[in-house]
Amino acid sequence: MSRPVEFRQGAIELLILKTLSWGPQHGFSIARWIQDTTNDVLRLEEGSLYPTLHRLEDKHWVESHWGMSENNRRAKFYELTALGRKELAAEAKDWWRYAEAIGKVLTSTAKPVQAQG
Amino acid sequence: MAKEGNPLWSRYRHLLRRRTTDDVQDELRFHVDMRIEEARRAGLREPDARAAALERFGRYTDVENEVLNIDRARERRRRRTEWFGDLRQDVAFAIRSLTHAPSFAIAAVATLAIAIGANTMIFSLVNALLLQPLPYAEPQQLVSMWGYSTGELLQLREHLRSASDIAAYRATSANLDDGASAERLDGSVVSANLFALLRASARIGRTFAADEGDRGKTDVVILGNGLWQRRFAGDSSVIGRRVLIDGSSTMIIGVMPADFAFPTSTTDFWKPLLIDRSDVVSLWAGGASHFIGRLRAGTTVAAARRELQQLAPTFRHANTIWDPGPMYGQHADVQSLQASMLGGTRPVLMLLLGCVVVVLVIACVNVANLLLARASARERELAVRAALGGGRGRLIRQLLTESLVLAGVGGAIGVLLSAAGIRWLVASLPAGVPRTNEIALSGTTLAFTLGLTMLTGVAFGLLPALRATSGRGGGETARSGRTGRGVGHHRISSMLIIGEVALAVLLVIGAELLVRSFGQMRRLDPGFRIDHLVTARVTPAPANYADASKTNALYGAILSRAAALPGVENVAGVSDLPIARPVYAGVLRIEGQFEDMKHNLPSEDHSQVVTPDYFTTMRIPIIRGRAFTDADHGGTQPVAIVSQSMARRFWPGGDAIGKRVGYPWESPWMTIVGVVADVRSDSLRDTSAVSVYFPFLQRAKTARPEFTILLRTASDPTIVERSLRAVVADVDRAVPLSEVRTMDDVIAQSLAKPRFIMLLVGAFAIVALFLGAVGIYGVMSYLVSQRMQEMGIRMALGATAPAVLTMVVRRAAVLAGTGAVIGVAAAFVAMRPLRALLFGVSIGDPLTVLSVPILFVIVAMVASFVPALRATRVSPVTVLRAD
Repeated sequence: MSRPVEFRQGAIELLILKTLSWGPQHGFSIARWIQDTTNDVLRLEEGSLYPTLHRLEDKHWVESHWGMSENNRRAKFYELTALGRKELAAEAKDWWRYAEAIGKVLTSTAKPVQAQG
Repeated sequence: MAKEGNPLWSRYRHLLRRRTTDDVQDELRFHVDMRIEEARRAGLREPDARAAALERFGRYTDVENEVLNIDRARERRRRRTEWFGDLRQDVAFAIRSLTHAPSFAIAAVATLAIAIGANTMIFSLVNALLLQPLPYAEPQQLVSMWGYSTGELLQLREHLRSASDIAAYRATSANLDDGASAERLDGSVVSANLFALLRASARIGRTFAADEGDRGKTDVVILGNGLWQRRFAGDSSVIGRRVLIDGSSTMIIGVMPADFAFPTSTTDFWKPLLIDRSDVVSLWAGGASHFIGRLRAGTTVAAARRELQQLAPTFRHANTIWDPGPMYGQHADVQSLQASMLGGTRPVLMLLLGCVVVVLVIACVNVANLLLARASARERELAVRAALGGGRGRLIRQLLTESLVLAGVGGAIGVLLSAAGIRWLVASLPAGVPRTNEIALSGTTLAFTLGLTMLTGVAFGLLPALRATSGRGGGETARSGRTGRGVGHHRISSMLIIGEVALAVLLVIGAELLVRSFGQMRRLDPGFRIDHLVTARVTPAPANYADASKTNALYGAILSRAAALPGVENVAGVSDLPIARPVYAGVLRIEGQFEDMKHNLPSEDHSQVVTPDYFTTMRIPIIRGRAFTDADHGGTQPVAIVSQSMARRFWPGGDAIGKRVGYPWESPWMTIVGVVADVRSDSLRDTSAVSVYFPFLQRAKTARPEFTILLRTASDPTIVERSLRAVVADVDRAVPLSEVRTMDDVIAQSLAKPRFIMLLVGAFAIVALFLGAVGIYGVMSYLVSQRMQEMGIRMALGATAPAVLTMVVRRAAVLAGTGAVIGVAAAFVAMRPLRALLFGVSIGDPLTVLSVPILFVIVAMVASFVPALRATRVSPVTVLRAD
């Protein structure tokens, strides 16, 4: 098992949106899905999911409703809105461009030009 | 309402808060519980499983609080939008339903706009003059007080402990000559400490130094901002410059700021008052006629008055020159400066305030009536809506919104009206009203209007709203419609209309009395011919014209050259122009009757110095004897002319010609050579026509060289005015000509105050009459609509259209007549304070007392005619089927 990576704020929104793109889920299942998908590489303080979820709701990217969980408990389910779906596409694209750029730098073989004193 | 609404609301709010909290806790606890479950399944025991789950979760309470804050903010936003949404809906609904009843909406809005406009206008005036403190530091400490001369000023400063400082001032006018042209200006002679007392400082330069009232140091002047801008183009380098003021060289030391308007806003300059302790005669002979003081902190006006009343009589013995008598100082008074500056304007303000309050009450009654009528007309609609589940609160809110929309629109139009009204008001205020520069639509005034508008809206929206939604079963009302309801409404509406007419009658009677008084004043014959007469004041500087022969030459030249102007018939000069200002009232010795100066000499005379052609120019008939001639000069026998009233008073039954009169001091006897017709001198309302005239060339040596010249013209008098200026400038460039105006203008200006009051009260009366008509129309329409069924039945049973018409119109006439009788009775009581403003008519003037009620009955009949006509068009079938 590799070293855990600290979670980057901002990326959390993207992960939530992506998770919800599979369908409505409650907070716990979002956390579990992220954990499962990343093989526990991302160290996520699970509590921090919730303020983000509620803020996404304020932005009308997600909607919530109360429903029954798998084990028959009252749980709050979140669902992607049309606006949220659009944002997901846009943010994912940004993220890939960012990752690509960083990757290019890290794999570069050219030495930087020496600055003149 | 409020009593039970408050706890209900808070319970509701509490509930909402609880639900948000519960939801957040449920959501987070679910997460943790799921993890505990998972850990337990992995084999961990209870406390460890919980600890592991919580660790994984992170700072639980922080998260909980953060989420709670997000949700509560969202909840608040949601509620706010909902409220505004409801409001928008209500307003839209109100506007929609008002546009469906345009005559109602227009009547209500017009009523409110006029009432609020009039009230805002008058309140602006009252606010600026009565309520706003004077624009000086610590204005509540400023007082005006008793005092006549510099001697008293010094005594008061020394002894009156209530005041920390006392200043004196008097009005003056003087010629300002800067070498280019000479101009007559109004100013004020003030003790050097006046500015310090008011804590007013100069805009540029400085105010007076403490020693600038000393002999030899008074050759300084402070300019008013208006004069500085007008005459010196706002040039700062005037400080230190010397100008001629009444012929003597004076240095400009300062310019006051634009908002400094003491004692009046027309004061153009301030000169220091000479205070010379060594000159005892001038110390007690005058110097200043108005005293102001600044009270020590904590001293009241009443306390200062008590102290002054103790003190003032003791000054009698400080006067070593003459004994002012035992009554001296007995009526010494201290008044707040604000009240004393207002002076005679206060009762006028109160009258106007009373008028607008009456207008406001009438307007409110009108709006109440209109809303009441409308609410009852909509009873069925409201009942249906209530039955369909419209909450009572929601219905009330809707009706309230409707009346607030009316009030809002009316108020907005009213403020616009008042803005125009205030501009007119300031322009047409009669002279002598203080602080006119401060009259404006201020924040206070706007707040007052806004409050008034809202109050009107709430009060008259709520009453019908509560009534319309009151407990009486909605279902029943919906079913029975109009039948049998509205009897209570009838009575309320009838009483409101009677009250409204009574108030309007009161106001119209007041206005009619004022209009007739003004008419009487206008018709007064002053005793001379007013038209085609140009008057102008000639004011040579006394310093330049100390020599009588020089003055004689000046006027000789002016008069002879003015007489030669084309279109001029006669010219003359007079010391004091009648009507323009109070004519000098001197005391006289009369040979054989009042010779001894120790006796009281007759003193309510008007004494004037005139040139020979005065009587011809003024067209004052000579009844006996002769007019003055050029032969009545310093070298011939001293002569005088008296008025008919004077002749009758002192020589009743005998002949005044040949009798002799004299000035009190060091004067020869002057033989009466003529008797002329009576003239009103001080004002058109002057009751004393006792006048004595002396010839110009024999005037007293001490007389000032100021005269008013008169030109009788054949054609338009205004053409002559310009040529007259050229003539005087040509004779002596340094002699200014001022107050160039026709006698018609002089008369009009003397009537400016009664005219102003008459116009305003008259305008309010017309408004009241109009509103009364609107009210009668509204109520009769309402009554007719209420009694449609009855009318239908009557018509079905054979009543003719004229009979129904008469019935409705008669009802309106009876209501108006009842109101009018009450109004007339009220007028007898309420008009008492108005008596001083009346002239030539009495409160019980039969023409007024009869004509106004008749006018109102006619107005009521006309206003009820349209609704009455509607009643006759009722088809019996429709009405019977409608129920």
